[in-house]
Amino acid sequence: MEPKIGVYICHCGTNIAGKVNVEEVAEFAGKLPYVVVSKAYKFMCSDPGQNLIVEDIKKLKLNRVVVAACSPTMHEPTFRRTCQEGRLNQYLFQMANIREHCSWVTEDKVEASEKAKAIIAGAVYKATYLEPLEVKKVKINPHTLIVGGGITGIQAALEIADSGHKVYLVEKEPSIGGHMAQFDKTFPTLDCSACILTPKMVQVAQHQNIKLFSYSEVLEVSGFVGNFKAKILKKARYIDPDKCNGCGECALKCPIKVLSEFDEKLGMRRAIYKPFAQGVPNLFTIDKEHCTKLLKDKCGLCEKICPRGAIDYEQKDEIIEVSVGAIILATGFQIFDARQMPQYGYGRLGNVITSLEFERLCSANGPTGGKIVLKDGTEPKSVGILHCIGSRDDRFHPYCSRVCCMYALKYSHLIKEKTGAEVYQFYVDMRCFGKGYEEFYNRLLEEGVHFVRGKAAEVTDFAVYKGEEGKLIVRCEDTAIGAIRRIPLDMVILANALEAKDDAKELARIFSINTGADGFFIEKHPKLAPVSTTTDGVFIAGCCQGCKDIPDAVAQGAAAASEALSLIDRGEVEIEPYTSIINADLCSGCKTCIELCPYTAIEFDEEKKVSAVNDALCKGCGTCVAACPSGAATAQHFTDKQIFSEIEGVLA
Amino acid sequence: MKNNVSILVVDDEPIVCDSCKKILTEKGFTVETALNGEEALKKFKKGDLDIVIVDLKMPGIDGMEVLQSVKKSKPEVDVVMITGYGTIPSAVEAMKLGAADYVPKPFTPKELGQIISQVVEKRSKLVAEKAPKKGAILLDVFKKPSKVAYHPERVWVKDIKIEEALDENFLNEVRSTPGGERVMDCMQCGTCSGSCPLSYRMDYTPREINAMVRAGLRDEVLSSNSIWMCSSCYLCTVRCPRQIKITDIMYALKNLAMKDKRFLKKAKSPLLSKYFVAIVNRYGRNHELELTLKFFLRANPRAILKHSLMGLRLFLRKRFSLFPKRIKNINQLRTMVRKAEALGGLR
Amino acid sequence: MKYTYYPGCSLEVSSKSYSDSALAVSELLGIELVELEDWNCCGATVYLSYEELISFSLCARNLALAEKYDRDLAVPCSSCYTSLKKTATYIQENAELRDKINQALQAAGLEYKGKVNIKHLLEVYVNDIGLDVIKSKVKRELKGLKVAPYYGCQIVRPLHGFDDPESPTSLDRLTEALGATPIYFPNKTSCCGSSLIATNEELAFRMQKDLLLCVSGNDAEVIITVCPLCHMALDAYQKKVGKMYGFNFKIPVLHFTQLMGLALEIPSKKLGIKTGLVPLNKALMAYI
Ligand SMILES: Cc1cc2nc3c(=O)[nH]c(=O)nc-3n(C[C@H](O)[C@H](O)[C@H](O)COP(=O)(O)OP(=O)(O)OC[C@H]3O[C@@H](n4cnc5c(N)ncnc54)[C@H](O)[C@@H]3O)c2cc1C
Ligand code: SF4
Ligand code: SF4
Ligand code: SF4
Ligand code: SF4
Ligand code: SF4
Ligand code: SF4
Repeated sequence: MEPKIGVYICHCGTNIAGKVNVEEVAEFAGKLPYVVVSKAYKFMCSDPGQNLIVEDIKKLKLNRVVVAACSPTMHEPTFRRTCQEGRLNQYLFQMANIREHCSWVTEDKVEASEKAKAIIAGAVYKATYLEPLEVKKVKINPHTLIVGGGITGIQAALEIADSGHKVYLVEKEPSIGGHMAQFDKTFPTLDCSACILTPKMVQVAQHQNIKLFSYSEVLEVSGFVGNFKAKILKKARYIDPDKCNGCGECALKCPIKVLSEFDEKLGMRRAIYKPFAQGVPNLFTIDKEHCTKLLKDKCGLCEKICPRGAIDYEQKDEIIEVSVGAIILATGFQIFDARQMPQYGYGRLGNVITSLEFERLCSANGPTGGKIVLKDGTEPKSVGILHCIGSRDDRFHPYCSRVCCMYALKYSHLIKEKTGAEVYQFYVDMRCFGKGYEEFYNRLLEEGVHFVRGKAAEVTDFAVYKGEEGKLIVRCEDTAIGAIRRIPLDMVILANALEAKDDAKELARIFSINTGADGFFIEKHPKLAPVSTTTDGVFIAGCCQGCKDIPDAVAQGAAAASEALSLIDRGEVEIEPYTSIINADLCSGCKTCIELCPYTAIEFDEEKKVSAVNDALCKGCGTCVAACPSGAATAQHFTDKQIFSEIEGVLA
Repeated sequence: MKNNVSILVVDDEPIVCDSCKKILTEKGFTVETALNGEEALKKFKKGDLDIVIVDLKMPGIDGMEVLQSVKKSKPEVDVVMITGYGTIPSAVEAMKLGAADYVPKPFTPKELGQIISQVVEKRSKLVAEKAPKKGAILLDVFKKPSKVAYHPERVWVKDIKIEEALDENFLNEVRSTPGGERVMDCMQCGTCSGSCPLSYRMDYTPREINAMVRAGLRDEVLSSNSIWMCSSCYLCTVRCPRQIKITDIMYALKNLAMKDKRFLKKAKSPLLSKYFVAIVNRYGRNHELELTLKFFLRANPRAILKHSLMGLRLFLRKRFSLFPKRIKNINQLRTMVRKAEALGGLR
Repeated sequence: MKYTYYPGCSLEVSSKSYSDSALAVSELLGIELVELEDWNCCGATVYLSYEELISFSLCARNLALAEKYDRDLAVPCSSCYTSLKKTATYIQENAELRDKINQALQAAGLEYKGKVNIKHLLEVYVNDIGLDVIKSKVKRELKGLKVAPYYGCQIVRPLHGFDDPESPTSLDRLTEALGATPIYFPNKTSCCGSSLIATNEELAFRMQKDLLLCVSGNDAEVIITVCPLCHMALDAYQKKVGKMYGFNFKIPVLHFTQLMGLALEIPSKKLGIKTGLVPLNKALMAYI
């Protein structure tokens, strides 16, 4: 059948029409081969715009449609639906991007119009050779994999599990809880962190729909939306989880002391340990890096002590494979290492501490039982909190970490309440944007906290003036009063930036998603698809996507859960038919493609002695097409003919 | 209660002169009088005066002119204007030109006494601040130096900033120098000023200078002492979270102030630069003795004596040379300098 | 190893002992320092304040002269080092500046292609020669001598990349290699204020006072410097600063090469040890 092409050029308000002479371009397009109609319209994506197409398909018997407008990631699905409405196969539609690729990036109006013409001609030429294709439908596995058991992952897991679907929750550490478990109180309401978190952790442990893999990591993921397979490494704890009841006798006797990671190395734990008393699951773990039995075959005390015979030095790492339909990543953040800014003295001056160290000092289950004390055990009489350490700084992280202003306020209150010390905040801007946050700021203003507007320039122990002996001196410009100040303090708390975890890139690779310039995982669209990623079926939530506080993290966890549920409830997914096919008549059976296919999607038909593509596995990467010496493989919707024709069009 | 402050009263009405003299002598000041501008300037040149009280409106050399020439030759002398009009414009004008204060006519002895003692108090504070503290204590007792410390170059009074008076092009001048490109990125965090070893004495801290450059406060910036206080230690530059090269901006501003000579009346640093440049252009290298001598002769002759002892000790250790060393190919260097000059600098 | 040597104006006369000791030490370490023929003043902070383009051109002339030899340029003065390095960097980064400087150079029959590698003398010793080699050449360990390794500002700033701009360690490590003990010294990269001595003595003295207080408070027996201007500020003015603030400072100040010379047993006369204005103390006399 002779192609009959309709071309539609969108003004996109002034976005395109402001630079491209749309009428002139429409006239040009009308003269291209096989084009029977060419129109320009203000907003093609609007209802009247779409109707234009539907009517033309019916009236003029169009069998190809080209829309020149914005990026296909924006509106290709829209216009495909339009074509379907007009009873035209959706793959006979071609989009030409004359906004992002043209009007937005071209200064000169004449040049922009010429470029638009070239792009449209390419699309028209390609459209000539388009062929109808059918979408594939695949069943969705109803289980979900959640990676990261912080508050975000916990929230998502509970939402999904409560709806009756199965969740695999993978947590790297021996216990779930994430950073929130380390806190004493949470801003702005100052509710006790443990009181609101622990019940949720216990729920996770007890929920029949949640299978928790603690002390575990995801090694590998394969498959596609609705049909993922994940390999989980379950690290050996050297303890039989069915026997251990968490009594803790073992740890009391274990002779090996190690600096506790959970306590930010301010306290000690044993080689056999549970990170904190309320940890979930209620299991102990032997740290093989330090246990002398595992290192040098000495000791073995815990085995003798354990009343339940739960110790198993022979336990091995396990790899478990699970099949899931959706994946949620909630791997959280880490804090900036302030040693990179030696001017603040962290690591050199004992009473300069990080935010997380302070959380542990302040926490009732922390190393000091919640007493805020200096390294020598005495109470500080004055404390400074230095904002924006490593944040809003082009040398480290240009972004604002969003929570430190608020936790600095929280600290001020706790310090005043517990020690009565004078508190100084050295801030650049107070960012109190959330619900109830400004009110909290106001409360602290009334409590008499000293707000010094100016970023601390340095912390030194070199006393020059009276009252500075033996103190930490913060030097800064108080920009509000226009003076340089030196303020002697007993303790300095750094508001370290939140940053992407060191292994974020590696995780992104495993899950085929991307990290942004700031190191965090990138969402599909910052406003309209905040928890989706460019890989269908993989969602992100919480601080692994960017800095946020608990309310936002929880909201995102719930959002990701509902996205996953909505996917699962669909029952099946449509998959773009962009797979390759191998023409059996041309295939010589050389098997070149089989070795090269990165998704092991090609099988060899021993009977016919030819290769054949399994289109459920094929991702349409085109490797086989390029490699096949007989030219037997073609990529549907991206055939050689279509591509060469498109190039011809662009150059014509 | 004699004090050692000497005052000259200038007014064309003898009765005003006399009554002022009486009031002030009672307060312990040494007072002289003059009946017109000419006489005043003569007396001023001869004597070692601290304060001049002068009537604004006089035949011949008027009060404004007296003020100007006093400030020009001895900026440390305070001038108080007597004005018969008492109107804001003339007073403000006089203050802008450096007057310490003004007394509207008619005035009571008490009023005059108050104003003069304020001026004296301010002076003594400044003098005290200038002289560093002594005493064998380990720790200094820190007194915050006043931000309005005395600067000979500074004649500004606070006023509303009118948009019309701002210089839009100033920002571009600074932005077009190497290192000045990012001045727009400043977020006013104050890290630079907090780090700067000298900002506490600057008219405006480096952070403020950035903001003023952006706002177009050209005259204030170029006449401030800030730019000449910068010791080029680059601490601000390495610490600025926005990676703004503040030290380079300071250099750009020094260059601009140098070009625009009206900002350099009494500043010492530009003088030093000028002599240094002349010596380098002459020999291709610095000659420390010549530079020191020339500079102090102009800037502070008395200091030469103070420095000569150290000079002698350095000389004895062969660390002072009497004669300059000229490079061989000085002509090449001069051709290059001339060409660079002809290119008109960086902006 | 052979380097082109740019002494700078201060090392010609007022800090000749720095140059003398640097040459003597280098020779012992197997380094040949060949003085750059007909070098001119780098312009320092003072010329740069007057007119940037000419000042950059002055540095560019030196670079153009140095480029004739296929050697790195070794600079003992931190101020010269920064001027030269900054010029080289800006010539690379800023096309307009490069163009103008090239025009000025051309007028004088010179050309600079941007190939000279500029190194501070400390960098040459610590990175190129290496502390192990230096240690092996030490003849007389300076056991127990408490040294304040003072970097000052311009050797590490702005970001020259050879050591940390906030807490550099190269001079501390060098001190250790000589067998001496580097003291804890929080002000080790503070500015010495030398550029203000002539124009604003009070402020400069205050900076020097803080430095001297910090050094003496931490029991240093000698200060070592890597810049002739720092040396001048702390040595020549030490007495005056002390007098002004009521302290009796008596801390000898040596160029770091002089201290190296002592450990390498170079005769103290050759090192010009006694040309400082602050008299040597007992701790130091032990090595002379
Ligand atoms: C000092 C400080 C104080 C704060 N105070 C408050 C406050 O008072 N109020 C408030 O609202 N917010 C506060 N916040 C913010 C709050 O910490 C975060 O919003 C919240 O912790 C985000 O939760 P999350 O689950 O996304 O990340 P996280 O808490 O970081 O949890 C991530 C979890 O994933 C696990 N994980 C990481 N990588 C992997 C992997 N590869 N495989 C498996 N598991 C992995 C981690 O072990 C961890 O358990 C504070 C933050 C800081 C730094
Ligand atoms: S391992 Fe044994 S002793 Fe240790 S907590 Fe478990 S049950 Fe108790
Ligand atoms: S065997 Fe290991 S974990 Fe057990 S008590 Fe001994 S050191 Fe501790
Ligand atoms: S939240 Fe506050 S302290 Fe944290 S980076 Fe942002 S502005 Fe700085
Ligand atoms: S296009 Fe070819 S190589 Fe790529 S996944 Fe499909 S069959 Fe494999
Ligand atoms: S440190 Fe940088 S960003 Fe901060 S005030 Fe100074 S110039 Fe501006
Ligand atoms: S370079 Fe100048 S402005 Fe910057 S910190 Fe040093 S003295 Fe201050």
